[in-house]
Amino acid sequence: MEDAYRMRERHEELKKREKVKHPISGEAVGLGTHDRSLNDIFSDRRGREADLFLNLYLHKKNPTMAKEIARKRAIEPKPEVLLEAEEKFLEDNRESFNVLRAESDLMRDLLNGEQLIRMKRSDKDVDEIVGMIGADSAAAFLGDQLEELALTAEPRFRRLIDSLKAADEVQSGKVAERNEKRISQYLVKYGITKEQYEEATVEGLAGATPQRLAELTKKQLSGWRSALDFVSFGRVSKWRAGNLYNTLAERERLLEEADGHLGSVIKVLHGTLSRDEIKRAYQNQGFAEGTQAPSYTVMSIQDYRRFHKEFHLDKIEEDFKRYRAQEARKLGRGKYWNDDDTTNLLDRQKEKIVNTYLKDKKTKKERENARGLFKVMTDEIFTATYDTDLETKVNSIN
Amino acid sequence: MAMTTQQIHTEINRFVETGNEEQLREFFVKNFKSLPEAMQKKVFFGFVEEMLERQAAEAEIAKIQELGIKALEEIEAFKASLQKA
Repeated sequence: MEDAYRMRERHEELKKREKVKHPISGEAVGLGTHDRSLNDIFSDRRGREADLFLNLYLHKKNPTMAKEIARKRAIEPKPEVLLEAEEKFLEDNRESFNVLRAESDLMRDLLNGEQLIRMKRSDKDVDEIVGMIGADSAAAFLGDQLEELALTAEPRFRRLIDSLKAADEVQSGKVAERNEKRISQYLVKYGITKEQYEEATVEGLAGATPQRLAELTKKQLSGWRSALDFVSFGRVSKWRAGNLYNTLAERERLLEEADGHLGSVIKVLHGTLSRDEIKRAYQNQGFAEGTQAPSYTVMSIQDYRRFHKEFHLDKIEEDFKRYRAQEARKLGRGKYWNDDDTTNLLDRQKEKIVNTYLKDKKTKKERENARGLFKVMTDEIFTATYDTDLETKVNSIN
Repeated sequence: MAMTTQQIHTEINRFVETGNEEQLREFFVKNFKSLPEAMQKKVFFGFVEEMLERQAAEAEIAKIQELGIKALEEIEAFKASLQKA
């Protein structure tokens, strides 16, 4: 009986350990000090865990419930008893919170001062800032942001983990440099000039993601591989049996086919040298499968201009009036509804349009997917009071 | 001297109207120390995030290249065996 208990405990322990993996090695490392019960979280001496759990993590999940729990817990001298649903809400989210806390700590360890010194060489701006404030302060800055990101924007956090892992592979092997040298040698060997493939390459790369390029390469691989298999298992044996004419013709055909495949693979490889296009495609692609992906991408100044026009409070009047005119046309009331004369509108329709507009803005805001410096800029638009300010502004427009 | 939120917003709006990404990066680097600390954290994180994404893209490219180079080697071996036969 005792053995059965021990086995179950061990099994549970292993299962728990599997929940947190090292971002680079993938090894199961477990929750460590973040294996906290609700009591541990709320009795943390500095109140930091409770603050992160309630005011950051749960607030993002369900602000109304998180606020209500915080209110009840703050009542002195004795906190108000929580409802069953509130207790369940806390318990349901405890484990995922612990996992994210553990993962952000692992990331913090990986992006330490020493690592930053190593990484900064590849980016002049990061290099300059680390030089200004020192590697340790820079690492501390990152740590704080990582913690917040993990608890409030998990898809973006996961993407960062993936990027760090991939970046680590490149740094450790100098693979890219070696590959480029090999590709250049092939281009010279087969007398392929840049111009010969430029046009096709540029066309082929427009909007292509690295995944698509990889698929293309794989497709070509399977094409010539099937030819190879065909020969190995069929034609070659026949040829060896003595059917000379057929064999010679076949040989020429296969040689030609091989050259064709050679050319198409080289073309793809040549395309990979146009790195800026591929990098942009990579940055614009979505998040990993299985994560709830926001999809309002803001990754360039053009994206940001569109975003600014649509969300900045200074631009809302113009944006709302455009929306309202469009909705009025749909309702067949365009002739009554212009900037100067809204008096003929029924109040019910007016309210409906305002509500739909606000709902639409809220949905889009939640799908915002800005990264890098553009995230700093979208955060400047979405201040803590944005939703209320937007509502007030829209309701004040005549 | 520390920049005020208003000054930062004015600068950002200026970039939205006329600037490009390079100028934006330059602005944040040059004025980094004048930004409020909360913004410094976000800005530095933004730079690192972009750097990691660029490096991850390099890794993706490297994977494709390795696949292709392997394919070329095998096609060449196949051709050589045909020519020898």
